[in-house]
Amino acid sequence: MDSITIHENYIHRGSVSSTESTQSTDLEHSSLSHRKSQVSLISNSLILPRPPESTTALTLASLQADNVSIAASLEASMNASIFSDEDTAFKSFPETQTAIDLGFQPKKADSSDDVDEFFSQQKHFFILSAAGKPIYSMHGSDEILTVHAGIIQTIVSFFEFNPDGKTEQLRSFMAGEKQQTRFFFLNKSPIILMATSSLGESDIQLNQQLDFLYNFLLTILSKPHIDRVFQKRDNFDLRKLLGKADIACLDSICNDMSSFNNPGLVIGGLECLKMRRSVRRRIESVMLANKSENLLYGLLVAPNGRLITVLRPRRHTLHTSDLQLLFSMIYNTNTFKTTPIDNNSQELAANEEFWVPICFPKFNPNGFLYSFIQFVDLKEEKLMQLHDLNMGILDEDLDPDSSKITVILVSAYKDSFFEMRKIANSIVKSLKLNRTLFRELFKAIVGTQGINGDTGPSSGKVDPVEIPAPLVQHFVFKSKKHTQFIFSRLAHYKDPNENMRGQLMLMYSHLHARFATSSKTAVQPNESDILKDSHFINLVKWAYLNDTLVGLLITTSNYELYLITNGGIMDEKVLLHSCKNIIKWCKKNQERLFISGGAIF
Amino acid sequence: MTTIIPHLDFDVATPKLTADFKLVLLGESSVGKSSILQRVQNGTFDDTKSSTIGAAFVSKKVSKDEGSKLVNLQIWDTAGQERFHNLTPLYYRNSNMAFIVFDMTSIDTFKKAEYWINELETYKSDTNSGLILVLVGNKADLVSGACDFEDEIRQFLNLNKNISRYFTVSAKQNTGLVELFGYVVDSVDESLFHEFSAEQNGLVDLNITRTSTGNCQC
Repeated sequence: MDSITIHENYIHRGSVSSTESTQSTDLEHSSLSHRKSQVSLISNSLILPRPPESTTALTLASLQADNVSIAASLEASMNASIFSDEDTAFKSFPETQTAIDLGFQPKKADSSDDVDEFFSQQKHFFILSAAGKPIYSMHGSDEILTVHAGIIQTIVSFFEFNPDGKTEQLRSFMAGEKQQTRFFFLNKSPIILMATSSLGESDIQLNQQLDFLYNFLLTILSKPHIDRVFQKRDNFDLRKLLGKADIACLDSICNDMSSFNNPGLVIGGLECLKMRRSVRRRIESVMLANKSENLLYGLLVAPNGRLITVLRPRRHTLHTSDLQLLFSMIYNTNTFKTTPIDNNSQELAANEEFWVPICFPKFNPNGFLYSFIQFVDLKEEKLMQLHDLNMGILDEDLDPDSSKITVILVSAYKDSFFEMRKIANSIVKSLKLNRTLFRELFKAIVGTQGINGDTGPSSGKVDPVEIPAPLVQHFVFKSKKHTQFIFSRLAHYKDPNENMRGQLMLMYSHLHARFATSSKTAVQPNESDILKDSHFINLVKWAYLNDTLVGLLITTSNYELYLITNGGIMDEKVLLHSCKNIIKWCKKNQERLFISGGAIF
Repeated sequence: MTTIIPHLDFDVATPKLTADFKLVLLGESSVGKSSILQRVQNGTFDDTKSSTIGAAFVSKKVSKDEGSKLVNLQIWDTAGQERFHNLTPLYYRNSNMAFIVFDMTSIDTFKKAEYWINELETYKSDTNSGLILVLVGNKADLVSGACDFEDEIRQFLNLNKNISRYFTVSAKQNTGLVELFGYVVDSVDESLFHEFSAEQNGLVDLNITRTSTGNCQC
């Protein structure tokens, strides 16, 4: 039970830390469990305390230094051993790692009329009109929403008009038991949005989440449409304009944001499919060769919203949040899904084509663009035979959507469906019939080919073991220049499931809340990409049951590296070496990991 | 030997004649337009199906006269919600047939069907189109026989001679759909058929492409 000491040689520079100590109390509100959990928080301390002996204790501590070297002692967990060098560290990882568990349960939207249940939720989202008419709430029945919409509207307007005639906006306050719940307001008159959270998010993060919800309303309705209906009647009921699919999509966006299930929303960026640059180039030239006059944007997307490439005019880039909204709409509802004949569950409909009017708020909040959407299954027997791919995978019980790519073609003209369809058909035909491209896509998305005919893990994701990065369980590397990130596998070729992804992102979200946004103020113009002593290293340690996890964030002006180590005890040299390895590897492979410009015309 | 992969269906025998036939599904939100299509397309039914956003396009090949003719049905499944209405003319323009679908348990959706029929009749007289109008009552399983507003329907059909047929179907229990789509295929006018050509039907001859890409080193 002796603790070991990590001597950090890295200095945290800048004025950030002085404000951090006040912000850090926010973390105290991240009680994550209704169980007998206990939260302790130590900030700016040199030594982290050992978590209380009770197995239900939850310890969350953050650590940083003020222009001094950090000496942190990290708690040794009960059964871990000290790794002295890379090799032993590598081998000491058992083949089957235990699941990452912070005791965090994914949140689900509901429309229950149980008031106690409503108040027990750790996260809420409300959308209402400026007149106080309910539009949407994540939890609770219509009756509950109606009451609270009125209250929220009253609070917002009370702050809006001061006796002296000035107006101001209520942004946020803390309330509730032990002041643990943060209330955040976003007034986008004629729409008002409010979030409450006792999950430890910052104002900035809640603001981003509400902004995303607001932009989703714009995506389906556009700004002029919303303004028009409320100009006609103040107390218009916007729910009349929302269909089942829209509500389902709002629910699912709220679920994702409450369960930290969408890494792109937490970190702010898009994920890409890892592939060779030459292959990506060839796909881009296929797209360019097939474009026609009325095509504005073209996207090829791998499962889970990972971009393969983008076709775009030189003058316009696509805004990250516009794409996140589009992907939320496509992948989060069952509107684009169907139940095939020999299956009992819904999957993306590969035998239909869709024509969807979408307003991209960052592109132009005042008008609609039209998106042609088609799903193409790579696991097509005849094509696999044609290109000599491993047929064994057809017998494996995989998620049917894990082998489907999405073709999205965006036009400004509502009557250009058949033009877009023709482009899509010839792009898809080229990709299917070109042996190299099809095989590369198949390898990156479905799986690589083993020597004995078995199917290996797909090459479109990276495993920390490949780099190698001993002690690192998982990492996310975001390139700020590209606003793109890669989300690794868990060490040893496992894809985190939804629950585990939430656990990881919860940790990263805490790191992001406390450090990523604040460090921007202290960025040095000519910072090198390789770790030097001028960079920020931030740790969050999390103990739950017998598990101790350490999350680490390194930020520079060029990138953010989030990573998680498991097991509690570690050799600081190995860990720092791993960090450097990941950063070097990502830099070296950045053309495989990120899309730099796409196919530009 | 030549392997032929049709664009959608794998087992269509090579017919002599082929025709494109454009069909559009219109009607209020949640009456079951997409469910009718899913039943015909996949033979399945989802209780939890979300509303359509925009429109979905399905092409379905159906053989006629013992396989000597191939009908390529091009079906537009439209969104019922009000906010997509300004797009609907895109879908019924140039169509050969329109299903105006309503929910047999809801007179409001039937009133909406009347609205669509009026709009389509205006379109027909403005453009001299030969668009065939078919009224479809869905969710027949929920009304066991006749629905509450059967009289209104009969009266409406008597007044609107433009409506060619009225079908009651259940996408959930798969009743009436064979008759409905049988009527669709029967309605394909002989004049629309032309000689079959593989290329025009999106068929790909894999043997040809194989030789052209065969020397790739991957």
